[in-house]
Amino acid sequence: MQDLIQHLINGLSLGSIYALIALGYTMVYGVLQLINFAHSDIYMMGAFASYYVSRWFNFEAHPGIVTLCMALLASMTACALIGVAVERFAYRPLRGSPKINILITAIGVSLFLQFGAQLIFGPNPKAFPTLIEDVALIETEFIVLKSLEVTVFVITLLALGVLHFLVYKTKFGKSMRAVSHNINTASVLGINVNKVIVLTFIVGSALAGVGSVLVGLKYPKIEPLMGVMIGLKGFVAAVFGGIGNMTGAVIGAMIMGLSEEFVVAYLSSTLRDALAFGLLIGILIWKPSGLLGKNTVEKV
Amino acid sequence: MKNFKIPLFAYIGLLILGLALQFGLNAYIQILILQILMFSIAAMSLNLVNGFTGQFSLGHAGFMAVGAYTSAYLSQLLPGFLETTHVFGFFIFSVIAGLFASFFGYVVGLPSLRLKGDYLAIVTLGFGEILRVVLLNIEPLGGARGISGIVPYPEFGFLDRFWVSFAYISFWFLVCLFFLWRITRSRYGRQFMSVREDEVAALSLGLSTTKIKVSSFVIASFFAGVAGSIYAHLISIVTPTVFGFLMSVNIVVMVVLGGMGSFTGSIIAAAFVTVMPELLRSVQSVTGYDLRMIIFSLGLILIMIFKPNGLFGDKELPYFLSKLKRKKV
Amino acid sequence: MILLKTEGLSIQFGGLKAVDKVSLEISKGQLFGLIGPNGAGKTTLFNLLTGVYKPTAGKLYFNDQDITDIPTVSRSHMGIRRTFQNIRLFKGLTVLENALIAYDQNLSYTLVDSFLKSATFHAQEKVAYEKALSLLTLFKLDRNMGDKAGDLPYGAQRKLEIIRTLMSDPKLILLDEPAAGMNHSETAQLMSLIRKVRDDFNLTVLLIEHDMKLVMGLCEQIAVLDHGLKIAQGRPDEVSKNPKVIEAYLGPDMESGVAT
Repeated sequence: MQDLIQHLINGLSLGSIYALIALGYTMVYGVLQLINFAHSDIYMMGAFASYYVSRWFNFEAHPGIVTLCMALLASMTACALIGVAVERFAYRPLRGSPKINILITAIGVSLFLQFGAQLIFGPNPKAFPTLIEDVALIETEFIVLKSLEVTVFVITLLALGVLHFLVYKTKFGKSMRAVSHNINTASVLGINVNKVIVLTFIVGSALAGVGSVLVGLKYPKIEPLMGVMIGLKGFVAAVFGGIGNMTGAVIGAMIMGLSEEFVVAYLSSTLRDALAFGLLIGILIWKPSGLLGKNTVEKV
Repeated sequence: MKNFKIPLFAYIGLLILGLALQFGLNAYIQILILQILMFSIAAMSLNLVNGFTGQFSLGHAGFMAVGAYTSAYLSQLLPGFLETTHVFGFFIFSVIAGLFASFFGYVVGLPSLRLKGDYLAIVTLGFGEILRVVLLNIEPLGGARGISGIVPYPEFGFLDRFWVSFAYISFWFLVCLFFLWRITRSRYGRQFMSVREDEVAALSLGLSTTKIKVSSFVIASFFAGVAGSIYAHLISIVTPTVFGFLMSVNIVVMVVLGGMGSFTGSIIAAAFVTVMPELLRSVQSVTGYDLRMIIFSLGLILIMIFKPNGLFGDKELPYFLSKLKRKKV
Repeated sequence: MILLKTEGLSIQFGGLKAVDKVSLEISKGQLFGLIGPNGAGKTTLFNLLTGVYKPTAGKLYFNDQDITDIPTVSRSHMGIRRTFQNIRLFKGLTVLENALIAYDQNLSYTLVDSFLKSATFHAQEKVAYEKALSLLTLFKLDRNMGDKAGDLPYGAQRKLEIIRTLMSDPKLILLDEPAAGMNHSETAQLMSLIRKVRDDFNLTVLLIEHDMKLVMGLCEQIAVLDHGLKIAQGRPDEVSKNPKVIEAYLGPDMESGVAT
């Protein structure tokens, strides 16, 4: 029984991280109808940013909430900056171009970041500093809750809470939702579409930055290609939940995290990565617009 | 068969060229040329899907993998076959490889092309990855080691391995080029392009857009499979990782760089993309760093921003020749 | 005889009844006009008639056959063709190619025929080409055969769209604002072209138009939509004097007939 609950916790924890990444994909797709291939690599850059900052200021000597927040800040800032740069220099010039061109550019940016990172940071994995002491907070017959997991949950909940506030309670959020619905109408109504898009990239990338620090804490190895697999899974989660739909992204991510955990625990660990594709194929066959996606009718 | 005058003459011309190349070049460049021909087949066929039909496929290397493994497996299964049938056996293997790949193309294409939007890109990306994982785990197909020691193209009297390979690959190169050329200059080409231009209008004119998209995908997959089978016997070893996402991206780059809708462009771009990394090796030796992928990815972004129609747009060689003629006058 | 009949045809988008229980009958060979203020549901009705939208209620009959659930592609094969309000030409294709692709359902040669450039291929392409040429000449676009459709002036693009509908001998063509953007002389030209085409090709024409001169001058029957409902139907002289129609266009408390 303890195992089952442990797997549940692990699954939700994994799902939380996938959610942070999936949201970035879904938000950008919502406003630009673009699959931001570079998102996973922005995520990776965040991990490295906070790694280097942590090393520089020797955070490992003072583990705790303060250093954790600073590491998060470093990651989020780096991600946001790179995200803004990518949007400004790679995607914006192609606004209005055929989809295929933009997708190829996105792939180009992704590869550029991956190989750039390999060049600058070296291809070998680095050890992410321990910023939180992993102690058991609750230890009962049914459940063992360790501080690391709690941290992941708390931070994710905070991030999602802030996001929810941003999207539903601020003017920016309203503008973003308007742009998602119809970019032309939004601009005609006076919304500064460019600003909204930039802010979307900032928020989406920053979320990925949070995710990468959490991953660094949980699985302390970071390397330039760390974004590839998790990015794919985050993306599949977003598609599963309905690409463009933020609630869907979170739900899809949780489902992915939980099913991955249980498949590995009770079936086979080699199926871990294959599961993501299984979910992808499944949703595309059953409901291609995703769990919460709507089949929008094209206006003729 | 007067309709085949041009391709026949082209083939004879190539065979003669092959002789010159056999004796005139070192082995390294010879392999490069053969690879260019092979990738041209992959690029031209992908152009049919991406360029003419406007669908975005990111998994072309996956179909090459199907073809490569089919050919490799068959040649291991029937060891004497290729020897006894000489080059004809390779031909049969390539056709089987192509058919098998096109079957996969149908299975992958039909469900995803029914959907509107970017789904084909996602699905083909996924297909390539799933295939890679599957191949990694199937022991009879070599698992992670793949299949090695695949029978290469044989010698033929005084004509060495290179010439026979060149003759064989050129044959498929021309078949692919002329087949695609001719069908795109017929009602089928118009069908593909109408789907690219405006699906709603195409439907209103009675065109079954899904069927058209799937057809382009199946045809393209066939030639990808053929290109894969060529790879198997050219390089003599196939592994799951070689036909990964990066190879698919390379082929997409060849299509876009050459110009979507231009087969001439695909061929020239295939040459460019195949040769570039080799040329950039010299940069590597100077700076000590392997900057090739960085240059490649930057180049990709810059081309998309500054020359989105690629080198040739949707024009072919005859167009440029006629422009030259006019200039001379 | 009745070529096209709708019975209580409706479509609802969420709470919005875009087309509300519209019943009409169009006779074979008729020049039928569909008018109404902007947003009345005219193009939506076209979309229902061509199968782009599925109705939420009602039925649709063509040649006495229930086509309510039949997809767009099949309706095109049955002989229903349309143009689009926003013009949906294949912009990257030439004028000739746009016309030729519209003939595709009459072509039957295979991929193999294309590859071999067989006699069948040549023969059928020739037929297609000649048909395209005759229509292009009729509409005075033959000189623009090699131009990209996207490069044509607006009026010419509209004409090309009409040519596309005519290529495969349709029975019913639906024209969505064919005269939009045209001046008086172009409109007059278009009117006589539509009449000629209807006479020569044995067609039935249903058109949406805002240009009252064209509608009143060309159409034999007119139906008026407002807020998704059919509020009037009749001959031009009847409709133009119908107070409900006047009110729909000009608002309540207006005198005079429908503005021309």
